[in-house]
Amino acid sequence: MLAAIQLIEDDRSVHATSQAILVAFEESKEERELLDSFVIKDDEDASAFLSLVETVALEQGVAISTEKLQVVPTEEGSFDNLSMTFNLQGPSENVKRVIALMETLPYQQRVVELTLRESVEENTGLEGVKARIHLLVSVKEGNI
Amino acid sequence: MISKTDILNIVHKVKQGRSSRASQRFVFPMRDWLIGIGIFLVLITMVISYDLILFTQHSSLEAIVTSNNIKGANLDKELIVDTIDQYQSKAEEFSRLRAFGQVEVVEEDINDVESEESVGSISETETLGDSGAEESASLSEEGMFEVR
Repeated sequence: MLAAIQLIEDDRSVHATSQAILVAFEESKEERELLDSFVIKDDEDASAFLSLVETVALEQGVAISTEKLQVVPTEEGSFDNLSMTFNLQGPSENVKRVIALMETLPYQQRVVELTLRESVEENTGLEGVKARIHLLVSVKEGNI
Repeated sequence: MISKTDILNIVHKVKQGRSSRASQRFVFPMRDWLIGIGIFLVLITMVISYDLILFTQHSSLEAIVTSNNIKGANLDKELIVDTIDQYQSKAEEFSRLRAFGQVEVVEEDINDVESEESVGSISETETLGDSGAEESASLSEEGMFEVR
C-alpha cells in the first residue's frame, strides 16, 4: 500500500513538474523570442547577418568582401560556430568604425583575429586601411 | 427378575450420566461467536485506524508538491533579464555607432568601389618599419586584444 501511495506521489510530482515547465515555457515566451532574435538559427538568419555586415560596411563607406564562410562544429552545448572572414578597404576612420560596429553586433559573436594594413590608393594617393577580420558567430547546432 | 425399583434405579443412573457429561462439555457456541466477533472488531478497528493515519498523512499531496521542490521548472529570470539587457545595450550601441558615421550609399559608388577592388588599385605601404608592414591583432581567451 505504501508503495502504491509512493507511486501516486511520484506520478503527481511528475505531473506537477510538467505543468510547471509548461507554465514557465508560456510565461517566458516573450523573453525567449527576444533572445532568439540575437541568435542565428538557420540559413535565412545567416544570410541576414551577412547582409547586415555588408550593409553596415557600405553605409560607412568601406568596401567589404567575404573571404571565408564556414560552420565550425563545437563539442559542447547546442551551438556551432559560423566562422567568417571579411576583408575591408577604406579610409582609416571608417574602417575602424566598421570594426567597432562588428564588435558590437547584437549577436553571440566574437572577433578572433584582426589584421590592419595601411595602404595608399595608387590613382588618387589617398591613404587608407585594409583590414582582415575573423568573426566567430554562434549558430544553432545542425540548422546550417 | 428385574423389579420396578431396579428399572427406576437404572433410569436414574442414566439420567445422572447425561447430566454429568453436559457439565464437562467444552464447546460454547455463544461464547465462541462472541470471541470471534470481538477479534474481528479489534482487527477492523486497527486496520481502519492505520488507514486513517495514512490518509491524513498523504491526503494533502497538493501542498507537498510546490513549485519550490519541482526540479528543472524554475527559470532563472534574473539571468534571462540580465542577458537580454546585455544584448539590448549591445544593439543600442550598435545603432548609435551605425548612425554616427553613416554615409549615403549610392549604387554607383558601390560599383566604383567594387571595380577598384577588382583591378587592385589600392596598394599597400609599409608604415610600421621595415618588417612591420602588417599590424595584426588577435583576441586572447580573456577577450583582450594582443597586438603582434
